[in-house]
Amino acid sequence: MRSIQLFCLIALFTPENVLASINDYIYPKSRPSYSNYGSIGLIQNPTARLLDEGHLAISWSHNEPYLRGSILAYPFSWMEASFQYTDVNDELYSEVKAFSGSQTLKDKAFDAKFRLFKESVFIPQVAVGLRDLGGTGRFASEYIVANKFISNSFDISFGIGWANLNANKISNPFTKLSGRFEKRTDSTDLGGKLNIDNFFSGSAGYFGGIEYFIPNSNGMRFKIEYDGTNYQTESNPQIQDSKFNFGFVYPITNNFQIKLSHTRGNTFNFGFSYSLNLGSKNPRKLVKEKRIELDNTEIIRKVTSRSDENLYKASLLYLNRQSISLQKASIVDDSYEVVVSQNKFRSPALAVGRVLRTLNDISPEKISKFKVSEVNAGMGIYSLEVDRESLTRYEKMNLPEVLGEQIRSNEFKFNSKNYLFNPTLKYPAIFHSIGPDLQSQIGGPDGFFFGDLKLRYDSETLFNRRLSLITTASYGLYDNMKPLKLRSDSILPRVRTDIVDYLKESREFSIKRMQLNFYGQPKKSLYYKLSAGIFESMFAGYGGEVLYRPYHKNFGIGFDAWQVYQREYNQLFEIREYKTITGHLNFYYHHPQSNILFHLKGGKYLAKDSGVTFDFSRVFRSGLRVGAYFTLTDISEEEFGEGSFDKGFYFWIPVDLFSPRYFKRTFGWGLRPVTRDGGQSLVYGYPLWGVTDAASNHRFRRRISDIFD
Amino acid sequence: MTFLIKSLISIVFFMTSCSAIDLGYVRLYQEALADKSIQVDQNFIDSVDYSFMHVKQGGAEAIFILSDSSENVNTWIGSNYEKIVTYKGLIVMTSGLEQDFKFVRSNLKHIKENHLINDFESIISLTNPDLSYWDAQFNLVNIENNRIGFKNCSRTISYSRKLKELSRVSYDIYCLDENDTVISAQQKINPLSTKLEISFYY
Repeated sequence: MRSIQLFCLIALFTPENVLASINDYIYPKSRPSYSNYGSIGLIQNPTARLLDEGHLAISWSHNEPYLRGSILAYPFSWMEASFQYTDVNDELYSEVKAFSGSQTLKDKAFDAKFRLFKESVFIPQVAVGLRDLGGTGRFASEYIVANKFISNSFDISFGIGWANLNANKISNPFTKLSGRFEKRTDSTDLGGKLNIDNFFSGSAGYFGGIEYFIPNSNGMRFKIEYDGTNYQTESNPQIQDSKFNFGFVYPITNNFQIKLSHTRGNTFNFGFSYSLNLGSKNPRKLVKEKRIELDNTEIIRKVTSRSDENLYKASLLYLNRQSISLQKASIVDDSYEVVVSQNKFRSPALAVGRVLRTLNDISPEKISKFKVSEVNAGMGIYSLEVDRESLTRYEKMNLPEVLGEQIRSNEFKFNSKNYLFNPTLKYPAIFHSIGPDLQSQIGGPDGFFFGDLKLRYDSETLFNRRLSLITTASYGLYDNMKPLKLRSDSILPRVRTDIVDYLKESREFSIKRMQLNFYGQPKKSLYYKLSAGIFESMFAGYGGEVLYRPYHKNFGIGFDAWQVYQREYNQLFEIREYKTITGHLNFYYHHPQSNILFHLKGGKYLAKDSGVTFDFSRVFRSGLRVGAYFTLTDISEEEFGEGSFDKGFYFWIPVDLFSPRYFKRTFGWGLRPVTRDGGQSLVYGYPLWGVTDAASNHRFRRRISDIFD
Repeated sequence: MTFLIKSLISIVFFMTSCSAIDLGYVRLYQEALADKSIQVDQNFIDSVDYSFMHVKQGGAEAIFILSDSSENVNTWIGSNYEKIVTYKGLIVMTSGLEQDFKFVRSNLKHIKENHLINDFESIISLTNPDLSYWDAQFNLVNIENNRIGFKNCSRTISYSRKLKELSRVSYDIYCLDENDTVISAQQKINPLSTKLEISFYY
């Protein structure tokens, strides 16, 4: 009896994936599918399913009268965050034809879903979700939903919803906890606010459905649901002839699904979704480029043993082949110290591994210790030491973690005078590239999409290690900006909302950035940067930043201050009348277990408002970074305008996730639902936190397994 | 990959309210994806002093070096110490791949007696997801000389491969030269993965 009880207890909490069998092949753990609403769900109803952390996804549905595009991110396995952009094609953008013509209404919203319980043998997966956060509230709802797999082919869901999901009325269970859940108030006209008082308030309703996985079909499925959507709460109520909806999902590939459905008893719908897991170390399972192996290392060592000069020159040559630039070197007794810089490997351990293994190949036997230091913009980033014997032994056994324990790593202050070998660097050194560029404006009353295709020139000129000029200029090739006419209605200084003028008047030649930077490092872990010139498309000026970033800690503190002048709309060298001083105190904290980076900054923004920005992002092993932010300042919601306060999300995807080669470059973009003037910060190139990115012991240790890659 | 490039750019196109999109990434992608494949041409073959096996699975390719050979059972080692063991082109065991496969050891004699000659049954194990000691059926489907589409093959032998209770069937194809040596093979060792295409260079 006791053993039965023990078995039941274990089975209750045992995750399903422990009990693998042929069913895993008959019913492969197919990706959850997307609802017409845009997030993971049945057809209209949400479910408790999520994708694994590190996934990014897009989803599109045509569900008359709604065309909905969604972008989703899964920063944790228990969280789904999404942005929905809905075209309501039976409503006009505005009643004023001169303002928005015949353009249909566009609605934007953020959604979030959180898993409360993970499914086990007997316990369903339970999640709580919030829809249309911080939007106009058109589709606002909250829900609690549970899902359970039955016999591998049926996924049953059942939930309770509020507001837009309360069509099938039941009494609100939360009213038993407090009377404040009885009533729900209307959302504000400006939108953008989190109406927390309304959460789980007012009438509740139930919804549910079944997803049937067709065996041996790699994830094809049928869906049937009892619709919980209250179409009467939508500003243009939809006719509903039936509460039963039916759907079908066909996976084209593991990542790409198409879906068909029939909803409300009268409407056919079509959509698709695409998801990618970009969180793990090498998510595309590419065979990455290997270290260039040296031939005839014995002969090389014979040559380098003859003189220190030979070793220095061999290091210069062979490190260069690994795309690593030797800056300085010294041999002192049996220790060989090198100072390098590199712009290829995002992982400090990978870069260090390439250096150490190359030095190990070419150094004569008398060298028994290596010290490798990295610099960036003439500033010391880190320094580490390891004995050669350990390196050789653990490289043979392929035990990077064990070698990592032998490596002593520290902060590093770079003093260029301390070295015996000083290769001559030819200055100025110019790096440049030319390519296409696209400026866009999406979702305004003048039209849905306006774009300006340009030819873009980027350059970086190094005058010495610490002094550089970065330039971005572009020339317009083709655009459709002419019909853009929306004028700013902001009562604040128009630091951003004159965007239309900037877009239209810079259609030919324009300079986006021409920023002179000077870097310095007065002490270990203390960095500064002075900058002057054109920082971004709308502002020029001068200023600087300071950052204290101790190598062995997970925080950084700094401040930045800028005297800025608003640029003319043509984005050349003229300036407008508006000028201001802007600056912030910055506090960074990287939580090592979750790899969440918190960035809190407070100070004065471009429109002379003062306040605080909260930015939090998660960095995955692949280098993918997913984040969100919001800013609260001392201006009122009315002064801010539509949206109430500034907010947005972003992600950075390392380009080399899709390539067998290594690149440090990332593909990043952010989305801000509405462009307003409150809470706006100066955008300048090469902030110190990014330049000193590798100055983190945690960052080095986290990817220590890369050292022999 | 072209589809992926287009979809990424389309995302940025669609969802940003106002932005400058650096389409220079298009060129970066193209440059990054160039020279991705391993060109196993005569120069490559001549440059390698040892027997090797070229493995392709989906878009990924790798070279495995012959590390041991005994009675036609060949052990091949990859650059990250992955291991594939073959018997006349049939993969009998893998280790270190994303989804591993193996015939249960005691079946090897039975396999040696029947592979490329007759139908046979065997017990196999898979990983990711794990499936241990499962019945698999290998049926000889076709033997063809000078089959169209297999120009280097003097003879091609096809087997169907099916796991008990799993209705999906996959087909293994073995390409033999005029000396009846297997020079290449295609087989799907895991029902949930794409097929492995292997070519041998002795």
